[in-house]
Amino acid sequence: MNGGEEGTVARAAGGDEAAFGALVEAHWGRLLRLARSVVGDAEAADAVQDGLLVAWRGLPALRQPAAFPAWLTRVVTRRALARARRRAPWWRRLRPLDEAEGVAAPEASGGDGEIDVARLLAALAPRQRAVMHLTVVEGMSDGEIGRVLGIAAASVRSHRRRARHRLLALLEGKDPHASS
Amino acid sequence: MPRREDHPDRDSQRRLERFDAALRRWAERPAPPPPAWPPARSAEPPSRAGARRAAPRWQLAAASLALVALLGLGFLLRPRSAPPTDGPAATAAAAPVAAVASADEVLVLWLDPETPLYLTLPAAAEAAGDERSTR
Repeated sequence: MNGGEEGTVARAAGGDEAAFGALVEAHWGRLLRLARSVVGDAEAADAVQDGLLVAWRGLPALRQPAAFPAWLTRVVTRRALARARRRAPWWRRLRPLDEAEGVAAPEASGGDGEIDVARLLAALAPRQRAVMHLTVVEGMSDGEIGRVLGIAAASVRSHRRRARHRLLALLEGKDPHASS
Repeated sequence: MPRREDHPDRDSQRRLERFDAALRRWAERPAPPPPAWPPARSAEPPSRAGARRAAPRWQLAAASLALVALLGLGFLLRPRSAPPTDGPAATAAAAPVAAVASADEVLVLWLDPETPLYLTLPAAAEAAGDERSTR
């Protein structure tokens, strides 16, 4: 974070709406991409807006302006996760694999079968989606991801491992959760 | 890059790498421009929002105090039953703590005009063969 943005953060914390608007513009794309992975395209913008409102109200409590990007990511991610959990009906939480039915597996050899990323992500738990996005797209370390999500680095690895097992099963056309 | 310790199988590694690449491409799709700030819904400046957050605590404390005061007042002003006008209780009304020996060798103590305490005298009860009673 550069010194210029720290000043903007300080002004925004003092109630300067224009300053906060500039911060929104600077971070919007990154936050929207993250929200898309967690809640899907339809609700991503709303999820980010929710997070920005929470951030706007909580900004005076941020002691280190330099930590603003990580702090904002944490706020928006948690709001997106809460929204994703609220949205899922209970039966879908028991059988999330239902959403993965019909996911196209890539062609067996040498084909460029198109991977339906949205449907594959929808088959994961919300937190697993966040971990996958922050790992693969943002390139964050386990410790950084843990701080965003409020969990230990070991938990991050566990979530990622389970997500990859699930993705692999879907990509290979297997269904480990099918009832016999 | 998927970690090798998670999926040692080469085919599995390749599949996951393809997914990762697809995820990156999918995530980098163009995003709509950010909305104007502040949004249409309420977005008070942080200082004002903070003050508003403090107000409910003050109001809650005042409401609690008012409730306690009302309850106390209600207790003090509660309707009380009229004191007895005849019988042993009426006699005891003039002396709130009094002992009156009844004809059945039962000692009656009046803790207050409304609360009798009955004590059976054992020796007298055994001699007379009376059945004990506690009330």
